[in-house]
Amino acid sequence: MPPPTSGTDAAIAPCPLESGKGQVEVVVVDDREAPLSGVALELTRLTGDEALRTRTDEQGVVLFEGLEEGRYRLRLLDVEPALWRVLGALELPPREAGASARWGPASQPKALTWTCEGTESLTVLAARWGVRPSRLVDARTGQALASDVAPAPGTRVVARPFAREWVTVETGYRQVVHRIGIPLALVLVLRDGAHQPRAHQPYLLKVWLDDEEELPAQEGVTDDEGRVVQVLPERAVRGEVTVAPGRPDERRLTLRFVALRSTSAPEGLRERLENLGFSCGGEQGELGPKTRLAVEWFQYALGLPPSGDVDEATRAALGLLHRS
Amino acid sequence: MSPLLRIRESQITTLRLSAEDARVEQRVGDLLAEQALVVPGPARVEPAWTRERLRPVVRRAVDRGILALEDVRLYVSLAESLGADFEEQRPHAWMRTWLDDAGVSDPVARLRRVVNERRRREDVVLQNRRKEEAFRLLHAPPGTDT
Repeated sequence: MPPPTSGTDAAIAPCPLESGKGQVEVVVVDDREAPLSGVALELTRLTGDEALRTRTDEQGVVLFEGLEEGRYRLRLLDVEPALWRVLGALELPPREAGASARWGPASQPKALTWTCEGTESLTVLAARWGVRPSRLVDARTGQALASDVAPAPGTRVVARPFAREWVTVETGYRQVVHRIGIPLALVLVLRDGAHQPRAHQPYLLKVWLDDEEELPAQEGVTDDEGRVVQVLPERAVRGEVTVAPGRPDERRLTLRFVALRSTSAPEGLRERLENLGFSCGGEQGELGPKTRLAVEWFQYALGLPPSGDVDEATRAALGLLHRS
Repeated sequence: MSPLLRIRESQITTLRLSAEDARVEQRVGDLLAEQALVVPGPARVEPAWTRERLRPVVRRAVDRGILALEDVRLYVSLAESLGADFEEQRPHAWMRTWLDDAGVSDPVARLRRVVNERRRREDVVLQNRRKEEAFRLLHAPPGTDT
C-alpha cells in the first residue's frame, strides 16, 4: 500500500490519523560553522515523485516532520553539488509526532543563463548563482570564459549542467550540512585631496542586498594604506561608507558592487566616478555640469588633459582603475 | 477525451471556483466583524476596511493557499500596516518573492517567514541607526554638531 499523502490541494486539511512519527532535522552551516538562514532544501521520497521544500530558519535549522519512518533523499536546491556536503549525522532525541507532511510535486531543474551587460565579471555571476566560475561558458560557442574580466556586452553565459546529487537520509537523525561559500571581498582604498592614504580613520560601512535588505553596519578603522577590507555576502549590491564623522574631511561614499552599467551610459560613468570618490552631485540623466566637473577632477588626478569631456582615453582609464 | 468527461471537468472547475469565492466572502465577513470590535492602532496605514477593499486582499491570500482565518488575518495585518498594494511597493517587493517562494512548499510557512523576516529587518535598520549615532558621538571632535 502506498504511503498516505495529503494531496496537493491546499484546501483539503490533512487527516491527523495520517501523521507519521518520523523526523529529519537538517542544520546548514557556513565555512566558519555559523548557521546559515534562508537556504532552500528539498526532501523527496526515494521514488523521487513527491517532495517537501523549505528554508532554514535563523538558527540554520529545518525540521521535516510528520514523515513515515524510513529513508529519504535530501539536497540543497539550486546549489552546485561541489559547494555542499554532509558533515555528519547525529541521532535525534525522541520527540512528539508533528503535523502530517504536506507533500507536493518535486521541483524541476532551472536553466541558468544570463546576458552580460559588459560590467559583471564571471566571479560575481558565479557567486550569485552558487556555482564555480569554471562552470560558466559562452552559450554560443561553448567555450570557457576568463573569470577575472567582464565578458563583452550581449554575451550569453550559461552554467554547464551539473548532476543532481542527492544524499540519502534516515528519519530520526540530524544532518549537519556545510554550504561552501564563494566569498567576495570589498577592498576600498581611501585617499585625501593630496592623494595620500587616509590611514587609521574610523569608518562605518552599511551594505544592502539585492532585495533591499539592510545588513548590520560594520564599524572599523582603515589600515596603514587607508584600506577598508570587508567580506561581502554574495547578494550584496550596494553600500555606503562614512569616514571621519563630524570632521571637515568627513566623506560619505555610495558604492555599487555589481551590475554597473557600461561606461558609455551616463549612469555607468557616474557610478564608477562616485565609487572612486569623484562626486557627481546626485545628477541623473544626461551628463550635467557636476558630472563634467567630476570627470575633470578624475582626468586631473590621472594626469590626463582635464577637459571634462568623456573621451575614449577617459573611459578606458575609468574602467581600468575601477577594474570593471 | 469524451464530451462527458469534458463537461465533468468544467463542472469541477466551476464548483472549485465557487467554493473559493465562498471562502473569500466568508473570511471577508469574519474580518469585517472583528474590525467593528477593534480600535485602529497607530501602525495602521490603511483606513478602515470596506468589503470592496478587503476582498482583493483576502483573495490574494486565499489564492496562495492561505485559508485559515488566523493566517488570513496575519496577511491582512501586513496590508493594514504597509498598504493594500504592499506587494507592488518597491521596498516591500521582497515580500512577494518570499510569499511565492518555490523553495518553501507550505504557503502558511511562507507567510510566517515573511512576518518574522519583516520584524528582523526592521530591527536591523533600527540598530544601524543607533550604531551610526553612537559612531558619530564617539568619533566626532568635541563641539561639532553631529
